[in-house]
Amino acid sequence: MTRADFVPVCTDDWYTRRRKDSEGDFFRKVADQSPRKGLNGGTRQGIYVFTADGELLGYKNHGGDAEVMKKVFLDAKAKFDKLPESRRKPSGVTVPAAGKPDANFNRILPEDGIVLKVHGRILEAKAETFVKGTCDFTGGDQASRDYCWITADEKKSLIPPKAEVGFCYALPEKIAQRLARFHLIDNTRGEPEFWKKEHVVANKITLTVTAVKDDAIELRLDGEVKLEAGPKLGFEPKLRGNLRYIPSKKAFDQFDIVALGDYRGETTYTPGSREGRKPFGISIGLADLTKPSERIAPQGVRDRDPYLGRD
Amino acid sequence: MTRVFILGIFSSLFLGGFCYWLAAAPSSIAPVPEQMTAARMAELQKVIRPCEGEDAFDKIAWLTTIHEARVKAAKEGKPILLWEMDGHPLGCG
Repeated sequence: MTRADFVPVCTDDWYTRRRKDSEGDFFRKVADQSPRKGLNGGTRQGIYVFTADGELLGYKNHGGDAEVMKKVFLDAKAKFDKLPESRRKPSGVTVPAAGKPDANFNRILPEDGIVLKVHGRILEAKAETFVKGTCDFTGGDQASRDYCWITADEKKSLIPPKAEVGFCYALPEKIAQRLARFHLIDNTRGEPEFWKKEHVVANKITLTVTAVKDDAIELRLDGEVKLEAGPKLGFEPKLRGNLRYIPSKKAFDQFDIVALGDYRGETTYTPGSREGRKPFGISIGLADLTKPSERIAPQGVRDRDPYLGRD
Repeated sequence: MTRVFILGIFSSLFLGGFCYWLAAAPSSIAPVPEQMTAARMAELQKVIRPCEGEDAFDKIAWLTTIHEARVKAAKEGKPILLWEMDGHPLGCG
């Protein structure tokens, strides 16, 4: 089997199953042909194979092994190959234009803003440094992945009011809160519950101008954050980062941040955490927006108002 | 866990390989450094970010809307493979 056999697409079911627009209508039409009918608005997650005009060819809920999935794909491809040629030949099917998206369940990339890619990983101390951690939870040792959105106005607020080496100022409140509540989180074992406002016990993050050049202003980020949701759930990272602003482009071409601290606990959908307080690291950097996969919405922006600091 | 499992399946089926990192470090409580130097920061970035092969699924040219997939599938005469998950498969953990 090769990538050439299918057109691969991923979506977040939380949005797709709820959308009242052509995207959601089409998806529900396909999903209704499967056992996953989403009764009472419930999940419709799974792996679906279908035609461009909406005929389901194969379905498998998450689970099983690679050989089972392979069989689902091969069976679905065999069904496709038996369709009338008029429906499987290139340009044989006409797809209507996309309708107006449902604004309640569609998140739009911030125009002229900043998109950051965020990875988290469990760590272990070794000698004077840290290495990748190990745990009993399958896949829990791997890097997690999410995105952070910063709006155009927020980007402007990051620019130092004084381009003078040594000038130090606070990271704008909305960005500092967003980082703390939605991105300083252990999401290595599933969907986490985000920190609430009252869980942010301390959040001091500053930017310091370290160099002023003809074409760039370089900044260092320093921070200490304390997040606590009771005695069994908390994270106390220190942050360090390097940012570079290019005035002629009105853009940041570097936005690297590392957070490191002891993490304890888990939430409903992230079971299997390690016992006690264990080192956890987060690495943040600019996303590559030429890739569709890096233009997806941050997990935290489902609840738009808290994410954007409007709660 | 589901996402990790499915990622493994897609990677192995589509790319024929998947890398699991197995660190041999002993378990201990980490001393959080008083000062995170630039050198330490670079070192940590390398440790935290996905290692070679860990994000193998990223080599698949996933589209992110069903409509885009339908247009492409119709044009190329192919079926669509949709990975639908609560939490975006490419970015929820």
